[in-house]
Amino acid sequence: MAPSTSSLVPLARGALQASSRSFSSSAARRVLVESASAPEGVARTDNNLTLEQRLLQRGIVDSLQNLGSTQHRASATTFRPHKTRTPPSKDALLSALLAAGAHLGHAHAAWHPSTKSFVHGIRHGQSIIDLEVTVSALRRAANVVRAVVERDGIVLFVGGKTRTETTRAAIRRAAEALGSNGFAVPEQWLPGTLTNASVLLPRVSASAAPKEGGRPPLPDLVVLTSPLVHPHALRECALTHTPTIGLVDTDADPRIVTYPIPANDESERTAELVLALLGEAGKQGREERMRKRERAEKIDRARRARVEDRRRARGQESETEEGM
Amino acid sequence: MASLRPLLRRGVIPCTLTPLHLRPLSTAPSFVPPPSAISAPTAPRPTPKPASPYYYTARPSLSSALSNLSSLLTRSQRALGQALALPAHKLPVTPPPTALRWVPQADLAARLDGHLRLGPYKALTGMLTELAKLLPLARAAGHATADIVAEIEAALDEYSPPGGHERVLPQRKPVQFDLYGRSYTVGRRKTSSARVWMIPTKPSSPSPSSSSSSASSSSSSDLPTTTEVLVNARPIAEVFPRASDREAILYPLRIAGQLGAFHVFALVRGGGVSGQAAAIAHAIAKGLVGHIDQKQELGPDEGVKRVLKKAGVLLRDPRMVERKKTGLAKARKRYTWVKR
Repeated sequence: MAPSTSSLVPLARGALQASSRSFSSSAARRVLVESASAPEGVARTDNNLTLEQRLLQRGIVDSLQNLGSTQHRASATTFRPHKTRTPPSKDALLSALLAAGAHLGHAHAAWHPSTKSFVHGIRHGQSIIDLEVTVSALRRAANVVRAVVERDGIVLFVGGKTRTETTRAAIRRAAEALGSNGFAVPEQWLPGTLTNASVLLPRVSASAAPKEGGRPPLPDLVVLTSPLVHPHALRECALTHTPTIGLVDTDADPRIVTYPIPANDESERTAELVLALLGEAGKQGREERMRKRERAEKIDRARRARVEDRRRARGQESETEEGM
Repeated sequence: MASLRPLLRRGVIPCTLTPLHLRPLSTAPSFVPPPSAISAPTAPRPTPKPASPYYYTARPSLSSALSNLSSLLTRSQRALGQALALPAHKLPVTPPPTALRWVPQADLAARLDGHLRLGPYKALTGMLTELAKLLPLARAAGHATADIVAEIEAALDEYSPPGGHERVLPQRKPVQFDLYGRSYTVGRRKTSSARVWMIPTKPSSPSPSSSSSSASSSSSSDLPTTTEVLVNARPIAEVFPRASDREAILYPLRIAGQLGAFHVFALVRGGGVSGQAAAIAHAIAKGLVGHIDQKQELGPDEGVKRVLKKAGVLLRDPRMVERKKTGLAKARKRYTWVKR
C-alpha cells in the first residue's frame, strides 16, 4: 500500500529533521503520530494506530532509513581510508562476542580457581572472561567439529530444559546445518542415553544382527551449551570416551569438558552465536567430505574408462589378427 | 562441581592443566601426509547413522513433532507481524470462547513413541492452542498469510479428535410450550417435585380465573394484573399457611419484576411443606427463563436469567437428608463420650 507523495513530503521533512543517519522507528512514530489526528490526552502507542497508519509508518521508515548523512564531527573533516575497509575476521568475531555479552562471567565469590587462565579481570565483583582465549578456543572447537563431520562422525548438540525456546531453536538449526551428521537433544537429557543405550534407544536398522553391530551408534562428539546443567551427560560422555565441547563459565571447572570454550553460559545470544559458528564449521566439513568423495569417484570412473578402452583395443587387435 | 570432582580425581574425565592460551592450537605431530592421503575419502562408518536427528532424545517422534509445531508457531507469528505491521507480542490475539479439545494423551502416545508423559503432552497442546488463537487473525489478514493458514489448519487437523477441536458446551434443554402458550417446567427440592404450568396474564385476553384468596383481576387494561397461584388445585394460602413459604414461591417473580405477569398452576408431590414450596419456586424460575429469555433469544448473561442465577433460584439445591451412620446417633451426632 503505497502512500501518496503529497502526504509523504511534510512527514519526510519532519522525519529528516528529527534525525540524520540514525533513523529509528521510534523517531518515525513520533513524527507520524504528531501529524495523525489522535485526540489529546490519549496515549500514543501502536494500539491506537489503525492498520493503514502502521503500514504507512513502516513504509516511511523503510524508504527513508538509508537516507541521511553518515558524516559526524570526527569524520567530516578527515578522510580515513583504512576505516572504510572491512575489519579483519578476528576482530569481527571478538566484537560479536562482546556484543553478545560472552565476556560477562559469574560473581567473583562463585569463582572456580581453575578458570584463572581465562579470567581477564574483575569488575564490580563480576569476573570478566578474556575473549582472546575464547576466540582461540572457538577456533579449536570449530576445527574439531569440522574434522569429525569430514570423517562422517555423529555430532550431538545438547540443550537443556532451562533454556528458552529461541536457544532450543538454535540447537535444532545447528543440527540441521550438519545434515545427516547432526543430532539434537533440545529438551532434557535422559540419563542413561549413552551408558544404557541398548535399552533406551531403538535399533537403527532392523536387519542388523545384535552381535554384529545392531547396537545403537554412540555420538562421536557432544556439544553442550550449558554443561553444568547436565552432570549426567558429562559423566556418560566420560565413561563412553566421547569427546565433549562446552561453554564453561567462571564458576565451572574447565576440565569437565574436553574442549572448553570460556564464555557466559547464561547468555542466549552467546549460545546462539557459538552454535551458529559450530554449525557453519560442520557444514564446511560436510562439503569437504562430499568433495573428496566426488574426486575419488571421478578418479575411479576415469580408471574404469581406461581399463575399458584397453580391453576394447585388445579385442580389436585380436580380431584384426584373426582376420589377417 | 562437587559431583564431578571424584571423577576428575579418579582420572575418568581427562584433565589438562595447561592454560588454554598457552597451549598450541594444533596438538598433532609434525607429520605431513602425502597429497593422495589428504584428498582420499575416509573409510566408511562401521555402524550406520540413525535416521532421525532426535534419535538421542529416546523420543524421536515427540521431539520432531514439538520442533515442527514450534517452528510453525514462530513463522506464523512473524508472518502475522509482517502483515499487520505489529511486533509478535502485540498481536491482537483473543482466547477461544471454550477450552479446545485435542487428541487424548493415550492415543497420542500410541501414535508417537509408545509413551507420553503429561508434561510434554501439555507442551504440545499448549502450542496447538496458541496456533488456534492465531488462525482467525491469519484468515482475516488476507492473501498474504494464505499459505500460513493452510499450514496451521493442517497442523490442527492432525491433532484434532474426530469431532473437531472446538468444544460444544452442553445446552440447557429449551422450555416446552403448549398450544395455549403455557410453559411446563419441573422443580425439585429434597424429595419434593413440582410440575408447574405458567401462562402470561395478558390484559386484553381473559385470564383463566378461579376461586382464589387473592383479589381477582380486572379485565380492563388500565388496572394492574395479579398473579394467581394454585397448588394441587387449591389456593396457595390454604396449602402454605406460613408466610415464609408463600414468599419463597413468589420470590423468583418478585426479583424478575414479573409479579402479576403470570398465573401459576402447580402439582407438587413428596417431601414436606417447605421442600414443596422451594420446588415450586425452582420450577417458576425455570418457567420465567423460558417465557422471557427464550422467546427473545437472549444470551446466558442477559435478561432475567442473569438476575435469577445471581439470586440462586435457578439452581436445583443438591442438599438431601444425609444417611445415618453406624456407631453414631444420627448422620453426624455422636453418642456421649464416656471416659471409662
